[in-house]
Amino acid sequence: MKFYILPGPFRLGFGITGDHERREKDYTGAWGGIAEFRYLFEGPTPHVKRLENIIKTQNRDMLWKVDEWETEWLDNNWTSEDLLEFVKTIISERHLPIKQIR
Amino acid sequence: MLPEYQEVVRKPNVMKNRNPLQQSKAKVVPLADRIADLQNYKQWQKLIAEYKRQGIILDPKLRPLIKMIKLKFIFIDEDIQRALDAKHCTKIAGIESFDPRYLQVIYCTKVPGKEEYHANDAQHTATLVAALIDAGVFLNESDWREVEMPVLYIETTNKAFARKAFALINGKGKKKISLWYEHRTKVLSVRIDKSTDPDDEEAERKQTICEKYHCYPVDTESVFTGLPGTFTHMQALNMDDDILEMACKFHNDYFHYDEINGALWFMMDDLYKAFSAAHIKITDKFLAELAGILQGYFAGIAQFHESVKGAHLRWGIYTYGYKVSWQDDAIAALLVLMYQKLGGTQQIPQPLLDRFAKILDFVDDDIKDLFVEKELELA
Repeated sequence: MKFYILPGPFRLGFGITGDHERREKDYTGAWGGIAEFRYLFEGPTPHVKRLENIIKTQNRDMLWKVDEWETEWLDNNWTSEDLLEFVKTIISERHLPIKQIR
Repeated sequence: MLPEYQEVVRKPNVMKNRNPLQQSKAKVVPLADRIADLQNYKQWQKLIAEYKRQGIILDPKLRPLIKMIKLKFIFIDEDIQRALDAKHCTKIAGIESFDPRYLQVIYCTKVPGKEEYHANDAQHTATLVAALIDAGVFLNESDWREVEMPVLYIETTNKAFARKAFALINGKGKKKISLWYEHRTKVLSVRIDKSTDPDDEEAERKQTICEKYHCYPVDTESVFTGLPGTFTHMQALNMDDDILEMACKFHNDYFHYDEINGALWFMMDDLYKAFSAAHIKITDKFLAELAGILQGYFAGIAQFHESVKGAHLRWGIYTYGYKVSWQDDAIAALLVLMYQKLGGTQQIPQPLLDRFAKILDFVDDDIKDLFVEKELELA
């Protein structure tokens, strides 16, 4: 399972996928421009899912909300590097067997 | 080989100073503060703007009135109200618990032009008060017909309105008190009001056990949900003190950096009961080994819980040929089966191993891959 960080046209995105190439194409098709994951991590499914969940929980107030819908886009000018740093800290602090592959 | 638990840096738990149940002094705010809260809420602002846009003006006379009414003027519409629950009345009037100060106002619709009040709610209150008076329980009162009770009423001949009002009072459209608020009432009754009611004392005792290990029950709608040590699964407080303490300690020792997942309670309850029945001691070493599995293979209890649910679903379909309902005892069972598979040496009560014997075959492939890797390492 992979975790990705995606600089979007409006906000910074993140998510998990089993097939990152397919997912990049989905984004490209949806927003009409080439989408490329800036950073990519890989690890066992439970750990990658947990990583995503931690990001959502700890930054709940910064997730872009459309009415009541909590999206996987970060508001408040998060940069790819900000999230990269956050992810690396979580991986290190919690000893998650997740490796950066891009 | 069992994965070894790796220490995670402990950070100060922010809930320690923000715990809404820690107060020992009452806090009173004026109604104006609450009005300001509501007026700051965007949806409220939108609603009021819509009232103004539509030019809606309400007649103040439509608000209910309150009056002391003799009980002989109270009537019950049997097609609106439920039948009298004599058992419920008897329970309310129980000698240990009944206090006249808890009596509620009677909600009625008044027939215009007549002294006739039809109870939409609190028929049980009216009935049991009248019956207690009739029994001579109230000082210097003997004729219930002449005794007055406070009645909140509106005047109408519209029975449909009364029907709706009854549904409203009994739940529909009313914000129900959550289990957390019920717990809060009991805890603060002891901490602020020094209540000695056994129910209140029990709730406070459980709360103290939780706080000792930096675990904090919070309301599902609270801003604190998701913070380390918080939990919303209030049924946890129904567990025996010893089990609650073991669960909270386990969380604080190994997963203090996470919110508490509901699986913790089921897991600890089942382990404690199974080990106790088999007269096997749960050692600290064993708990540390379990924590190692949960951390090493699942990054904590939340993902373990999700994995067990997936495995249980597939196991059920394989075993019975259809989707079986979720069984929370699969949580502890799968954990100890993994423990044995990974070479754990602690004696495990056999019933824990038998219940879901084949479930390990249905865990996610990622996890199974880890087993295979470990088995190859051992080989």
